Amino acid sequence: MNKLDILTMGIRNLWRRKLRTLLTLLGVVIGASAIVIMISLSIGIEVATRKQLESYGDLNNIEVWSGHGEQGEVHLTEEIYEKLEELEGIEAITPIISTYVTFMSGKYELSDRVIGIKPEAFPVLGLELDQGRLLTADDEMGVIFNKNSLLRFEKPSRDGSVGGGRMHFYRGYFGPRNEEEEEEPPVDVLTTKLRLMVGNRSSDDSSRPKIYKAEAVGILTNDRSSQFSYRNIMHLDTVKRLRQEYDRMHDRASSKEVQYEQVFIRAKNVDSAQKLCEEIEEMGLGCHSMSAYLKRMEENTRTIRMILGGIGVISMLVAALMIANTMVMSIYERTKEIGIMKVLGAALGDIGQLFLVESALIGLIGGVFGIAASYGISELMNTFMGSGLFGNQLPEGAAISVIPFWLILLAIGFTSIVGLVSGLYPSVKAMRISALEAIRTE
Amino acid sequence: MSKPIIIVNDVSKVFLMGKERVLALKRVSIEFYRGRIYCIVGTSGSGKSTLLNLLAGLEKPTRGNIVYFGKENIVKMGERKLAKFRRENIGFVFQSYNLLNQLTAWENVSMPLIFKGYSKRMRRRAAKVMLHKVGLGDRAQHLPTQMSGGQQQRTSIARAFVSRPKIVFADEPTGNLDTKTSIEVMELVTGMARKLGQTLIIVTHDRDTASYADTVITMRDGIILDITDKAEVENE
Ligand SMILES: Nc1ncnc2c1ncn2[C@@H]1O[C@H](COP(=O)(O)OP(=O)(O)OP(=O)(O)O)[C@@H](O)[C@H]1O
Ligand SMILES: [Mg+2]
Repeated sequence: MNKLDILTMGIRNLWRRKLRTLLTLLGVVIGASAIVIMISLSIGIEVATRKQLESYGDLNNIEVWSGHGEQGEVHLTEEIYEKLEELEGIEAITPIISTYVTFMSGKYELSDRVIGIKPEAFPVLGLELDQGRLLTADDEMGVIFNKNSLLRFEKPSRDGSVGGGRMHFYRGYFGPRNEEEEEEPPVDVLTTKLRLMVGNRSSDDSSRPKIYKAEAVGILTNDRSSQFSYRNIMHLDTVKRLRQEYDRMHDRASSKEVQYEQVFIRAKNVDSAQKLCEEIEEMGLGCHSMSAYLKRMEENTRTIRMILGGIGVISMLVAALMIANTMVMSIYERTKEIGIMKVLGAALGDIGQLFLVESALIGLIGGVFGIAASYGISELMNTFMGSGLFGNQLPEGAAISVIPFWLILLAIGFTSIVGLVSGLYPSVKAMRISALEAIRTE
Repeated sequence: MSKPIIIVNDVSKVFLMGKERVLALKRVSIEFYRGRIYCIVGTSGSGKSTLLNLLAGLEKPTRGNIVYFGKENIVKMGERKLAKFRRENIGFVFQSYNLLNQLTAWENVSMPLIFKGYSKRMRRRAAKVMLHKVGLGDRAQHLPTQMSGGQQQRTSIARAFVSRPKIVFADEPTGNLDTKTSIEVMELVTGMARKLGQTLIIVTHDRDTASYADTVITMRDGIILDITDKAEVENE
């Protein structure tokens, strides 16, 4: 028999018993939408969880500090850093070291902390520039300023100290974040000549600090897109040198070896972030990553997701039994028909396929309508139930039911397979019917 | 004489009814030749239908062999091979027509062609030609329930012949019909078989029907009592 005939015969047979087909279809529709809705709810939980965590910080980012291991304290030395660099799953890694410098731009001065970062790591830090550009490997004396620091450039008072009058510290952190109120910095550092020196002018050292030529290359935007948004940034090697000079000035020569304050890692994905953090903690270092919370939150929602999935699977199982029942009934009704076809020389396989195609069709059509129904239900739930379903765990406005495209394919594939499998036994039964006995039945 | 198309060799059939054994056929041997029309007559319960079903491969004998074309022993065939064999070589006419009630006349006629994988266009054409030949050219779109018994039997005859089988079996094709219709149906079925040189084996109750045959086989209590070859008689 050719496949098209099998299909059209299947459709005709389903059409012949409209009511029964409809009722069975309804069962599959309910089963399919139950499974889709339940999975969509658990995806909704996951998506909302992720969103919430991402609002706290990028899930792929890892911060590493020195910590306490089994062999006592572990510091972020160059040696340890090299070990970190060799770990799997890292997209970018940079040590962070900071020192205290005074910038001089025209008549204005700013004493502030500056951090050093490897220029290669810049593209993945999530920094957003308001003006200028990022540092490159050659920008040995390039500086990227943040907006708040620029506001604190001041003319030094007569005694040489800076920042005596107004309290400008932490402006923007606590001050009103009103765009219209935004102040203009007193000096345009990008076009003015910039110099810097280690430490603070007011520190009445006998040794006059060396003054370096520097260049402002960029200004960061004023939002909190990254944890580096409120830092002044320079080349790692430069800051390392300045730090050594600072330590010498303040007689802290005891620590000859450079130690980093922190190591920043960007993992390739959330999973490797979690794994990296575990490995780093095993080294005796301190590690912080939002991905750890993700894991914990996913564990917390696992039970509820399993219950949801279970409900879906059970409804689909019931639908499968309905299909099988319908097909078995249909075979009893059509025993004579099967007998006649056998006497006329129908191949056994064709007879089996005739029934299989019917049950698979029920599965497929039921799946399609089930998905349509799930979309409607999902829409209704998102509109009317809000995010209150799982306690107030989820952020405001998050969808509680999310149906991704793969779920649609999965549902249709699943119902079709369920249809096929539940038609398997009936169709084998049909194939086994004895032709002679069958044509004798009335 | 040419080689026989079917050789039935020492065939017995035992039915088990609980503990009781019914010996429906007792060591029957007979040969059938190409292009001839056979009638099997005999009292009720003599084993006519049983023999026909064994010949058509619808049932297995308890012992013995049934060999087609001098080489194909259908007793040894599995179900799948038998289905293929029937599809390619055998047509069947039943006493109770056995049409599919949800299909129209032409669709019923085209059933054997569906199983052979013919396209719908070819099936429809062949079926309509056959319906025309059995005098139902104008009933192609009718359902079996919309036709008389005689018309239904003609439809089933059209179905039996549509794929040009080498052998056509008919188990009491006129059993449900009145005398006049019976004659029409017998003339139709024998006429068709003769035209294409097909072998026709008919089981029947009444002796009148037997007059259409070249060979009349008489059975009683599961054995063949007599084989009368009319053509031979005429030739002498
Ligand atoms: N499926 C069966 N199970 C048990 N016994 C059977 C079966 N089929 C036939 N028989 C028995 O085999 C014997 C022959 O039956 P068969 O149907 O061949 O007779 P028949 O010559 O066709 O009779 P009729 O002219 O009444 O149709 C009978 O005694 C019958 O009871
Ligand atoms: Mg009989």
